[in-house]
Amino acid sequence: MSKNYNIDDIENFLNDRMETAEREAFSRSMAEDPELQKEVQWHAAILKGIDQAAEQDLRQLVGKVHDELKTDGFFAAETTEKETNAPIRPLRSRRWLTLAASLLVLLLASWWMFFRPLTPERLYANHFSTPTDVLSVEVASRLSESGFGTNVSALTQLREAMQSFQIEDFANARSLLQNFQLENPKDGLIDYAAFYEALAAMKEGDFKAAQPLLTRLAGQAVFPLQHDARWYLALNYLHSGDVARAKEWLNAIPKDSRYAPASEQLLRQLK
Amino acid sequence: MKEPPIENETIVQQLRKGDEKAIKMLYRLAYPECASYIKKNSGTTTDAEDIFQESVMVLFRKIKAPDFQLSSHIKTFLYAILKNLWRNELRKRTRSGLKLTIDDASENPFPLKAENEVALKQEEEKKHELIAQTLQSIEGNCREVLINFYFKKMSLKEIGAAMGFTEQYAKKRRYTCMESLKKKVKAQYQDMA
Repeated sequence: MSKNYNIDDIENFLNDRMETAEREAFSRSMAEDPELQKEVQWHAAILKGIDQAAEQDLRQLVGKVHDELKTDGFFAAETTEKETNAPIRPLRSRRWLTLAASLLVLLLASWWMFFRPLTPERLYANHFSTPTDVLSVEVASRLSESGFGTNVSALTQLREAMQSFQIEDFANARSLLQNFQLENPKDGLIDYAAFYEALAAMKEGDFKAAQPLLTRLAGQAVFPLQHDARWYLALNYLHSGDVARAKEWLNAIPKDSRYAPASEQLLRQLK
Repeated sequence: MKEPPIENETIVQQLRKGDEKAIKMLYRLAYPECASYIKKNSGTTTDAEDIFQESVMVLFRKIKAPDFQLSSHIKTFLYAILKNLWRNELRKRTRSGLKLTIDDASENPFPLKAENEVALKQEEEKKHELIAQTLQSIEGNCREVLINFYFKKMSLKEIGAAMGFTEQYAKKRRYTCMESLKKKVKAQYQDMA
């Protein structure tokens, strides 16, 4: 592996904390050095594993709090119906069952699943992550500066839409975002609404509905999330099995975009 | 609905650190209304307790994101998460009821892709589960150091203060623990090959 990079560099790359030039140099090194590329993949997997371990701790902690409150009679006041007398520890028992089942399968499956060939579907699953919610920030700043003439109800609708998006109620987010666009066709935030509507559609599995929205935004130079739209459009085509179009949109992502390293990596993987 | 006088920022910070008192406070703040919603919508007390615990876990995942911004009171946010989880659960239960009426599942032209995606996701989760288990077995305070740094996003100074180290030693432990974990996980994969 290239000796020029340490853990901090790898983490800065993975967490998108590098300057453009630095990121480009790192991506080039990765392309030339398969060992570095492997090391980055390992590091990303380890970070996710740490998150999972921490979640297990939290789950235990929540279970402990739950049990303590139960002993204190907290839930007794809430119980109005007659139910089973067995102690209720649904999460814990489920967790142990899940752990036992996972362990059995793990022994056989872990190695091959880590290094097996990358199909378009697997690439899509590896590369798709829900984008940062920048629309809520725009809405909050507009509401804080609101004065005479501000369409507060429209902004509130957008805020609700993004809250649904955040809690992964994509059907509701989609419907609120569509309403906003229909009712406020001249609002400056309309392209943002279309972008998140497309993403909500993809999260719901409606890839076809997202394509025209993302195609329009991907061609719009004034839209701040234009590169984001190109990236997600490429992923959309990848998911739909249209690798040629996916490649076209990946190639349309400029070299200075924050999506450039990921799109270069994906293009290499699609070769 | 009048919100209780509690600062969102304070409780979010406490929850990020995995503070037991904050979880208890969340129960006292939000559980009664959440349980009432579930019971009014075809759920039992067991469902309410189960879904509430899941909602708290979803809340943890949400607030962990560095760009997370709470646009409403935490109680309202948790209530919205719970409503969404419960709606999905009811849909799932209805669907599993409907499944019994399908005579030949192989004739269904749709599920292939979705099933494949679910399998991929499950495989990824299993991989991370293995790493999480390896983390259990590494020596000393490594698990705590790594979780505090990477999951709880505590600074090295905060970790040092919480664990009785100097900042410099916390920095050193973070590197050595990460290297040791990586080495163990890689060795384990190689043994399985």
